[in-house]
Amino acid sequence: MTPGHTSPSCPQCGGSLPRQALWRTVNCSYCKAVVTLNTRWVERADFHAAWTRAHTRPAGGGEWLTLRGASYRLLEPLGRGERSEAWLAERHGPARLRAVLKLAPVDAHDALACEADTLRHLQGLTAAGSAYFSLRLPQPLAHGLANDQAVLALRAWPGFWGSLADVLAFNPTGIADVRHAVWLWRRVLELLGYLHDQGWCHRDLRPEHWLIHPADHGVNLVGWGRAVEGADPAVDLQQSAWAMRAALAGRGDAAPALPAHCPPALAQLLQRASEDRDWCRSEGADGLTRQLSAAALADFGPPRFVPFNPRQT
Amino acid sequence: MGHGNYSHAAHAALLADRASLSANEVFSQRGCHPLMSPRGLSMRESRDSADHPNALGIVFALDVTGSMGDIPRNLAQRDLPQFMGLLGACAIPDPQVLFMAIGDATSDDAPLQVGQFESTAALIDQWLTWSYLEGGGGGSGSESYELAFYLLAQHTDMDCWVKRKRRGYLFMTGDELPYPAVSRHQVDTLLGDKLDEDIPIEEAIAAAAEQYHLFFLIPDLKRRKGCEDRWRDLLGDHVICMESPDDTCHVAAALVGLTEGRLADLDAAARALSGQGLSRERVSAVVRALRPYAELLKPGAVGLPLRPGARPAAPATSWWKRLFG
Repeated sequence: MTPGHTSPSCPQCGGSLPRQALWRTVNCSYCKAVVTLNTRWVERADFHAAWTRAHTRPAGGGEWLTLRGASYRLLEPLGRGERSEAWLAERHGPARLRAVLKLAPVDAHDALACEADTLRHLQGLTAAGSAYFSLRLPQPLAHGLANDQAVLALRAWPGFWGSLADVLAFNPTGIADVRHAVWLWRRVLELLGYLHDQGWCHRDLRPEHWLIHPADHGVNLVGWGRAVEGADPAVDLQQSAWAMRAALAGRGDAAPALPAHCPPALAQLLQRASEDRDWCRSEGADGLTRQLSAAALADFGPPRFVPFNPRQT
Repeated sequence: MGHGNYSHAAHAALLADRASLSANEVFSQRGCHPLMSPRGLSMRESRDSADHPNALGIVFALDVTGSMGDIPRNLAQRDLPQFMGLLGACAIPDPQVLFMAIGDATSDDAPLQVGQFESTAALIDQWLTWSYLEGGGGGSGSESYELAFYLLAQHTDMDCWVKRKRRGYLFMTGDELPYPAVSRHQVDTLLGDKLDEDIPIEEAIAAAAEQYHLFFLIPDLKRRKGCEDRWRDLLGDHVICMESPDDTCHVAAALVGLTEGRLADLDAAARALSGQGLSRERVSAVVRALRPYAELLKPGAVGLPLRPGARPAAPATSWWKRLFG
């Protein structure tokens, strides 16, 4: 202590404090209070306590799942595949968000990890158009094991109503207004064009993997477990044509035939695209998009927006 | 602080006077303004008063590094009256606005600047234009956003929270990653606070989130690539990916309106934005940016026709399997 300075003293009991009390907290040896005389002293513990409060789960509130340190509350089921289920969930805490959780048996963990890697790779592409098209691909949040299940957490897309298969569940005889098939297919062909240019193929474009945004006439693709780099893009194009045939023909166990109400130019295009893989390969997604535009013009005239009600098409 | 009344006409006139000025003339500081230096800062206060019995603290923490200079310029030369006008249209009674500027504490001269909560056009504008747009950034891919969370948690005091348990708002703009922790050395140098150890950014955010609704606004879709994932880990659906930095004010005002329940849904937000003269194209862009957060405010589902317990049937894909395996 330099001359002129008195020893620090405890503000509670007046007892003498060690000089460290001038810059940090100390325990008063008399009254045991934790004190500091430094008015600018800040302890991390206060911030950690806030973090703990923020991450304390509220009582009740249904089923919870912890994935990579984050708590998710399951809200409701969205769909079911052969081995997995999709659930809408909400992540708890300051980083609150809506997520779609893909839940599968534990032995599917590697497959989900592979799907997560694929999606991260696709989200990381920086080619022209990536800012737009990356919004139409699932955004992976985390994957791992939780509650004795393999889990892949994806960010939920607001406004997406359900899959094309859900549309068919409400419309078992198929989409009545064929004009809707034009924008549905066009959206997927645009996305496939971008992906194929980057060397990627989806390879599983069944109707369950087409997510529909009725208000914006948008389609996003899910189910990326079979996606690979360097495969034959014609398979994607052919699958997309078959999915459209299913959309128009409705549900059934047999391969969907082209319905009578499908106008001639579109019917011809769907027939060829679904059955002639070599032709799909030669046209590519961009060529098929051009063919679709020409067929739509021939069958329906200039394009115009037709509101889409997925429950009653 | 926060005395006086806001006048939209006065604010518009203020901006009209400087319409012909360059950004350098509007933002004339060439170093941190002494009154915006956080050194020795005790508390920034947003207080109720006779004029403003329901003060609501709103903080803009603007990234002023090189790539992000557009937003403060747009605010100062065009958009801020629209923000206040939209808040008025949403019947938000007594907004008090504080501006902060954020840079990179590892390389910039003024990585943290902080104004005061204000209610009048002239004073709100004053603190904004006193900000020093250093235009730095260290090239590390990170900026010192975490310091802003720390400062809000530790050095602001708002009556909306203390008296009414209504949280204020933070709108942080940026296109880079935050540093992983609040550095005790940087806090000592910049503010004079003595931390016992570094504070992980998650904890600084949790502390700030107790008093503020926190939002991170990414200026456009291209720039979301480099930083969105990390911010989404930290702030979830409170990360707003805009389609243009020009939308900042409209997005921020609509976020306040939606969160306060003054805008019932996105349709109401679109009507309010159109009512302020925003073009149809920009209204659509703002609504798209807001949609994930707006969904978060709804108690129910995203729109699927299912209810809890009503599990859908497994898909019938026999023909698909025959065709494609």
